[in-house]
Amino acid sequence: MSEQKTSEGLPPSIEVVGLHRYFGPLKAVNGVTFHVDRGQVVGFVGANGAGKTTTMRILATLDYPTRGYVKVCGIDVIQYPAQVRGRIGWMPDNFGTYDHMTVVEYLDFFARALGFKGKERAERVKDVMDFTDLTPLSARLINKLSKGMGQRLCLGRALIHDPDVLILDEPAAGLDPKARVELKHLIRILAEDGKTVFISSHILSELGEMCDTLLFIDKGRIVHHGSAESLKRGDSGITIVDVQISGDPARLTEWIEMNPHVTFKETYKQGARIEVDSVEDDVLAGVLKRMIADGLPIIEFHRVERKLEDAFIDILNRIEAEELAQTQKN
Amino acid sequence: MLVKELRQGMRTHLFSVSFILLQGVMVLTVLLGTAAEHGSDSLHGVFWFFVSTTMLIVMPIRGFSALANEVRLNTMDLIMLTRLSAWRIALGKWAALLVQTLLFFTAILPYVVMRYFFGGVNLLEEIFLIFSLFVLSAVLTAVTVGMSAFRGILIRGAVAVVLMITTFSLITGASNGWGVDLDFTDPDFWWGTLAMLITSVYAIYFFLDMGASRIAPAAENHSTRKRLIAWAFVIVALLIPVFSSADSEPMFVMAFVVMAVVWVDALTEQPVILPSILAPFLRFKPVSFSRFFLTPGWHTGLLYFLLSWVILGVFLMVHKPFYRGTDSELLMACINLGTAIIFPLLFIQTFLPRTTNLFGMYVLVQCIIIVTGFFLSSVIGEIAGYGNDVFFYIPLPFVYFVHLMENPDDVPALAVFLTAVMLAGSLFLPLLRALPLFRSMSQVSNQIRHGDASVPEGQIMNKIISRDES
Repeated sequence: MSEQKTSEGLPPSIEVVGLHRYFGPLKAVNGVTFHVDRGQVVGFVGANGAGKTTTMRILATLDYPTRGYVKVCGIDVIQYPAQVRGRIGWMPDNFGTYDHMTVVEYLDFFARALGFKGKERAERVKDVMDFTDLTPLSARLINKLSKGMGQRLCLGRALIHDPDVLILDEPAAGLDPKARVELKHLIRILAEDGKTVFISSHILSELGEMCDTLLFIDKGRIVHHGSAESLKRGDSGITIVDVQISGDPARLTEWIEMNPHVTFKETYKQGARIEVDSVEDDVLAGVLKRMIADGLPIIEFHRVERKLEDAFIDILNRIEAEELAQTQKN
Repeated sequence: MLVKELRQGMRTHLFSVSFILLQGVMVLTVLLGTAAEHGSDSLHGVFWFFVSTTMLIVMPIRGFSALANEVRLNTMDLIMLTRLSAWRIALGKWAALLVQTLLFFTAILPYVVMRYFFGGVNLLEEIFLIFSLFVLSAVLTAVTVGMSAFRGILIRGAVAVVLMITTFSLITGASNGWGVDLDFTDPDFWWGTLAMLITSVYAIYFFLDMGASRIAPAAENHSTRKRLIAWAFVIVALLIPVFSSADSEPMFVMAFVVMAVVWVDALTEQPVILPSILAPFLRFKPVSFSRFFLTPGWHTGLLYFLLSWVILGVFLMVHKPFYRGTDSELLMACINLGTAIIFPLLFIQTFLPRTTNLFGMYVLVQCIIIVTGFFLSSVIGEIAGYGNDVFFYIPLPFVYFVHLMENPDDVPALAVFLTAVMLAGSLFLPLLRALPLFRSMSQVSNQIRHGDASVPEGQIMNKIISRDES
């Protein structure tokens, strides 16, 4: 079994190879392979039932693969769950609470259970409450917390032992916009702190802002692994740009006709939506430079990016079409 | 775990209401007892009824939700990800309930003293009885906490029914003051008390570990410790009567009951063949073979059963600690006991080899076999007479038992032969099904010997983890 190494010679934070998980006839995870380098923030995207939670539970040592292996920081999750558990922070999609327990008692219990004693335990609990802004709520009963506060508490619990890898399953589900922004802010701080964050969510636009790379999973298989930027730009090899000028827009249309690598697509406000036959930033910069040099009074020039949702749907449609073609061929 | 459970447990209504109610009843019985002078039997019964109901029903029954509640509240995963081992989780749950029972126990003591002054009771006897109730409560709580790890409501329900029946008889006994005169000066009394305490400690350990092993990750090996401690317990129980004047019959019965429970647990474990579990066995070559009967899984449980059954049988045949019947009768009893344990496994491996709930299925099949066996015995007994040889042609261990009980002095060679055939038949198919698992164990062992401690891929992987797929 070959073992991947990062540039610093350390194994990746997460290494998943040939992962399968069957529940009777249902193939919840069907041959998933990927790796996540240290300090990366990776978004895990898929429809309900695509295999996200199953994969994450196996990563968190809470479920077992039918086949394949998973390593966290180079440690096998099946054979050495105790070592792996010390390095991960797990935040499940549905946050379980205890009755008759306050915020501080809850965090204190987990700090105690994680082996912290005396002063160190008190410090850990305080740090986590400060970080998640829960200090004013320390004496409140958990079942009286709002969803957003509950999620912050759950994140705090996952951080008590300062884990290297955070596995967050739908942390923003059901949160109001304010709570979502707060959560995003906390995750960004954690990422800046060098933690590897593996996060699943349905809200793709937020993942796009937070994540270095995105993993798309469908029917238990990884269908895309790449940056949010590359997804937004697509793989057609062209770039769509909206251009506005002050004055007569016909000047812009004339200019487009005279330039071979640029095509008119449609009218856009006081200008045009154009197609540039390259995705390179240099080429786009060149086009803008030429426009200005040719005396066009440019007031707006911006790349039109696809929404991540559209990109996701496109990928799913493409796979569906390929599967259909394969079925017809057979 | 203990702190958290106590925080939660003592804030529940059940605890506070029971506590206040018991105090009220205690005050009332003492006052009425004082008025009645030297106490009446009915008041005595009321006192013990309430004390024993609280200790043997109210407190232990809360254990049924101990581990199950964590699963229901989605908090079990969070606890499992801490440094708490499955054993410590189960122990913490049990200890918290026990501490609450201890509070009841200490709350009752002043009333016992008052009953001594105003009710004319024997103080030492009463304290001893309350202590016995406390120990029983601890055992019952361990059973309920251990069983709460099982998801099947049917299994937990079945255990609850059995416990209720047992507890009801205990409460009836307790309400009558157990109907015994305790002789504290008799050394046998103290030997019996010591045996009861040791057995209770073992039972608490076993049931808690049984629950812990069901919630633990696959790589946590609970089986080896459980099986070795059972052997140690049985050896001590069998050897005490050999070297002392203690009665050997109850010791042997106790050893057999303990062994039977451990066998059922071992025969219903899911196989887990991981390098991290097998590696410690391979470090010391002379004992490396022990992995075939001490690692987790029903297949190793089968060898463990065979080995301990043979040892127990040989001990019984050679030493004959209490037995006064014929050799053939003894042999048949031994074979029958073994067959009764293994028979459900034959059924499961024949008709339900893919079941993931081995324990639940075992309990269900065993219940069906027992009921069918006794029903057939009654029918045959009524029609053909209990001494009839037709009993030997019904291949169910309990039918043989009935015949054996009815005709202890008449065991023909044919009966011994047929029971032996039944045992061999019951073992054959499960052993056949266990062979691929033993082969997998050998493959993984070879892999470890060659320095590869990774989990093997492909076909073996499919076999090694076959835990609960729900």
